[in-house]
Amino acid sequence: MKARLTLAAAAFAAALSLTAGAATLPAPQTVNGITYLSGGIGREEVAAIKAEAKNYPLSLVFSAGPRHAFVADVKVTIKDKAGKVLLGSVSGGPIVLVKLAPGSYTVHAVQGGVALNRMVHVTARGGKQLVLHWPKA
Amino acid sequence: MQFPNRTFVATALLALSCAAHAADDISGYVVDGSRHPVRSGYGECVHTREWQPGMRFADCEPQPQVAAPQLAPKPEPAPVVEAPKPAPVPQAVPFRLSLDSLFDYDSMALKPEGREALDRLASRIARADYQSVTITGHADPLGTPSYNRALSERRAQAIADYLAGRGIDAGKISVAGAGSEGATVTLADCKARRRAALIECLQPDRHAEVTVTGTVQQAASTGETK
Repeated sequence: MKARLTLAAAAFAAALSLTAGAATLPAPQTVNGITYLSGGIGREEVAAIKAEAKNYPLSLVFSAGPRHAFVADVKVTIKDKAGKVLLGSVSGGPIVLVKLAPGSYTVHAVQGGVALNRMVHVTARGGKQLVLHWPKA
Repeated sequence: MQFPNRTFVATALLALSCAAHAADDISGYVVDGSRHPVRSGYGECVHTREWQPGMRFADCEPQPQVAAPQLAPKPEPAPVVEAPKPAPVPQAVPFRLSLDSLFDYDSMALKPEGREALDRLASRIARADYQSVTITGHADPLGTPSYNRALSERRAQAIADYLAGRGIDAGKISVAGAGSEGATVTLADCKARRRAALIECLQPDRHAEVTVTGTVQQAASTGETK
């Protein structure tokens, strides 16, 4: 009887961890009052982040190479219009969601030693997606 | 560049094995037309009636000695399946798991048959008096190196989490992601033009090595190898 109970408990724990694993959205992080979320490894996480993107005014997507494949270890810096660093060199990717107030920002992203700079305007409506692509994988 | 190298190695081996055969006397042994010893189903050379103790040919005679059970067990790790030994020996036993049998392509969710395979692995690890379990995930060369490293590490972690849920001590499990470093099948090996065929061709690259260090009570089986 005891053995059967233990077995049932183990099966339950495994089922729990499986559902948690499949649906888990990466935990958001907050640096200097800016909340961001990074992830996108595996199709389940990509789907979860895409569903969550509506809650973040800015989505950054990083890709490289001729097939536009995801890149994962990108250093991201976001500055406001005055040049003040809001988010300093955080590691992220392939998708990074950022909570930013409406306004103009500069996104600086480094991958494989190559830096890309992009201006982006975030509106009150949100839903802004910025793809940063490195031609060389 | 690779072809001349391979040809050279093959030629060198051939020359060596010819030299070894020529130096030995075939009397006492049944040989085929190429002077190779004829072997029984157990790998032993077949003797003629003239054979006497002390006669040797090629690598015929050392073999029964290696198989003798009274030899002291060797401490080095054995990647090959070994016959059960009388006393448990501390050793590292690598298992090779096909990740395609555990996960769908680019997925982190374990398939039902993947869970069954890990259940069998967990019970095998549990039978060993294990000190450490190292799980290294590998990815195929499609996609970028950074993504592949992250993917292979996450999958290794998913395997670790599952094994921990099956009673394997999480404190003894370590996880690594090798990405597509050292992939056995490269894009150059696969002539496939269609992406599905290319993914299929690269299947051996998507695997995980699970190395268990500990005392093995029972002969390890590489039943998961795919």
